Amino acid sequence: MLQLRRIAFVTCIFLLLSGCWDSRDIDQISFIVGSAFDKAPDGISDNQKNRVKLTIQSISHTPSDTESSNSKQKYQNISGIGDSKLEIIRQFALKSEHPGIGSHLKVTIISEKLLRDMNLQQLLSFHERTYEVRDSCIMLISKGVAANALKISAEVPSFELVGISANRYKTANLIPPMTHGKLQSLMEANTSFIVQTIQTHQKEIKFSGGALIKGDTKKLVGLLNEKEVKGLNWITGNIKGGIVKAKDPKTKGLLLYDITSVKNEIIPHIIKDHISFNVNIETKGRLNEDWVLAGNAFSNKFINRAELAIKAEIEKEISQTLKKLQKEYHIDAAGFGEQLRIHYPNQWKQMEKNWDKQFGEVPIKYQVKITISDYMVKGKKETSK
Amino acid sequence: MIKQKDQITTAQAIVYISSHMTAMGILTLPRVVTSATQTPDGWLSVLISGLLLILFSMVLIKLCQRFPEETFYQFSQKIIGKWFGILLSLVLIIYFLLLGAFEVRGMAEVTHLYLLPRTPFMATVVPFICLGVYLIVGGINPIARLFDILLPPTILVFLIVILLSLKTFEINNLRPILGMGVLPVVKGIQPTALSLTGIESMLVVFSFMKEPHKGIKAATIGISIPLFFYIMTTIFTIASLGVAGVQTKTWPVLSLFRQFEYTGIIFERFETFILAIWILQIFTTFVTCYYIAVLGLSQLFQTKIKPFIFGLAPILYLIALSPKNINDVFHFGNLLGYFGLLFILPIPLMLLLIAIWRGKKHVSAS
Repeated sequence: MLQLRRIAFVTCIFLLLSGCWDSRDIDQISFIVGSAFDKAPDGISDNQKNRVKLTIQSISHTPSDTESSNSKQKYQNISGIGDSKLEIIRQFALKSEHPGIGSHLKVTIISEKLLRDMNLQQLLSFHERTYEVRDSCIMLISKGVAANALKISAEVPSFELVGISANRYKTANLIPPMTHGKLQSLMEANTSFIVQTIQTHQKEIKFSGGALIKGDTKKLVGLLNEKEVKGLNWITGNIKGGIVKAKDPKTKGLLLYDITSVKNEIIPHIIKDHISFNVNIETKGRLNEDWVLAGNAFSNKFINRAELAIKAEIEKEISQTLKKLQKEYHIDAAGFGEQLRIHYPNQWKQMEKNWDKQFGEVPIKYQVKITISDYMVKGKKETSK
Repeated sequence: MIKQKDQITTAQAIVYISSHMTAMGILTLPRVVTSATQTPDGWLSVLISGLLLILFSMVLIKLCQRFPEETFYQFSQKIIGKWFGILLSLVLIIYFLLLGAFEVRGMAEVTHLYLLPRTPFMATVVPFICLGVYLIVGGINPIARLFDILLPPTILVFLIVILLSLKTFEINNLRPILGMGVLPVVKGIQPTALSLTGIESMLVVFSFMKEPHKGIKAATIGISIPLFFYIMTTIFTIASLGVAGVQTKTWPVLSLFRQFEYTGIIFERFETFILAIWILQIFTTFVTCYYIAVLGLSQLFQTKIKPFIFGLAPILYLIALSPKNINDVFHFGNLLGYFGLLFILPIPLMLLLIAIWRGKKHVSAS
């Protein structure tokens, strides 16, 4: 009797241990790693307008056969057209053997054209709601057709894009990657912000400039070029590395300043309903290359001259960006509003709604403090004869 | 009724309280608090309500200390008479039953959403309850020992993962502190009720304590551990998601851990770890509730405990599956929070006053 009971017990345990309801074999799954949104051509009937074309890039498990994997492409792109994202995604179940799972989605690219007349929040509402897509997925905006960015020549284009966006320690022209999580928080708070844009040209990609997205409409209102993005990065202090190119006023030679650190502070002032800002920027770096023939970096005189030239260049970049933000687009994508919220929470409550409009009229002063701390290995072009 | 060996040490009592308190609430707390405050000051509300709770727990412990070897079910009858005592005990039993069922349901909801989307509720709920039955058949000692084992890994994993989330930490989301004055903080105190209930289990568990005079110490430390968790979680979640973002997420804390990835080390994603330890903590809360309810029934009817253990399992299952959708689950939770508060402050205070007035005290058998 006891024996029988034991056998029954063990059988029950086997039943419980036998497997997982949700298990799927890894070679049956294709992982979606990138997705791109484009504007679909309008159809004939009325309900075929304002549709979206979604392209997804997926990689699937292939047996590690060295010969075949060399020649074969590692990823597949599929696209579909529809009103809602879920609808398109489910369409893929009709188009491919292994409909993908989205939990490894790394990058979402949206075309500029689409975002000019479509609300970003609505576009991404599926992303936000589903449990599959992680909030760490990053977003980019494409100047041309977004799907082209998934066709660039790289082993897996999506990974290439993610990799490039992490290069901020080498260049100051990149905007910090906009993750889905951050994006959602910004949109919930109706804050205007900027997203990195990319440009593809014949299977080649370049990250260039940024797209300004308005907080209340959540649509794209304008673009900044690379230089203006750099200016914006100076204001927000989001610089980890990069260079500033300036000209030596005396000899017209080029000076290249390699940024090692940037500290910045935006200080808001409200005096009798009059708002103004002070931006203090402090940067340290080194002289990495100079085309000044008589340049003697061992003398502080030359260093000071270089500092002044570079400082003027940085200020020029900042003023250009501010002009564009304040006068052309009337949009605060540099976090001035946030400082106001922190320092004057009560006043901010009343201004919050009209802030972007008001921002255009606000005087902003900026001060750049620059220190060239060293000049790498070589200090002098040639020894004086 | 209670055998001599059924005793727990002070350290075990501390672990017991913290295990019971850390439960469902932690995953939704930042949202609940921030919806009330509308400012980043939610963590201050949590801190204040935690301190208030420690204060309240003293009343509760003082009451229990008058009857060191009896449970609430026994001494309530002595204080306010047999029938009122039974009535109050029944209410407490129902409360714990509902709370236990609620924890099971919450566990099922989260697993269903994040871990096992295609597994039916039954397949996660039934083993959960069965394991609970298996554990509580052994009485308070195995329960306390299990909790002892589960708490250290919980603290360790929690601390590691929450520190990893520094990657998305933005200090500006937490500023300004008290920018809109103290009022938002005060508003935030009340919604934290659900997350901070749990100390009411001492009404029953206290009777198992080997050293009843250390009750207040146990309660204070026992509350401080989860309170620390809660404050950390609230701070990090708000700092990462922002005031506006926190309010829109169903499970803001899990969203927090989905904000970041670390490539290059063995694990890229960490929400699974949090879910794992969280399910363990849900289990501890569930088991406590279950055990206290069952013990209450057996003490009320003065019969053996086992029939109740097995008899309540299907009832728990039915209650757990009764809320129709996730909103019902959250409402259920809120209601239970207030219910729990009732047993933390007003009822113990009332009983304590009556006990003092009527001079009721435990008379030792010798």
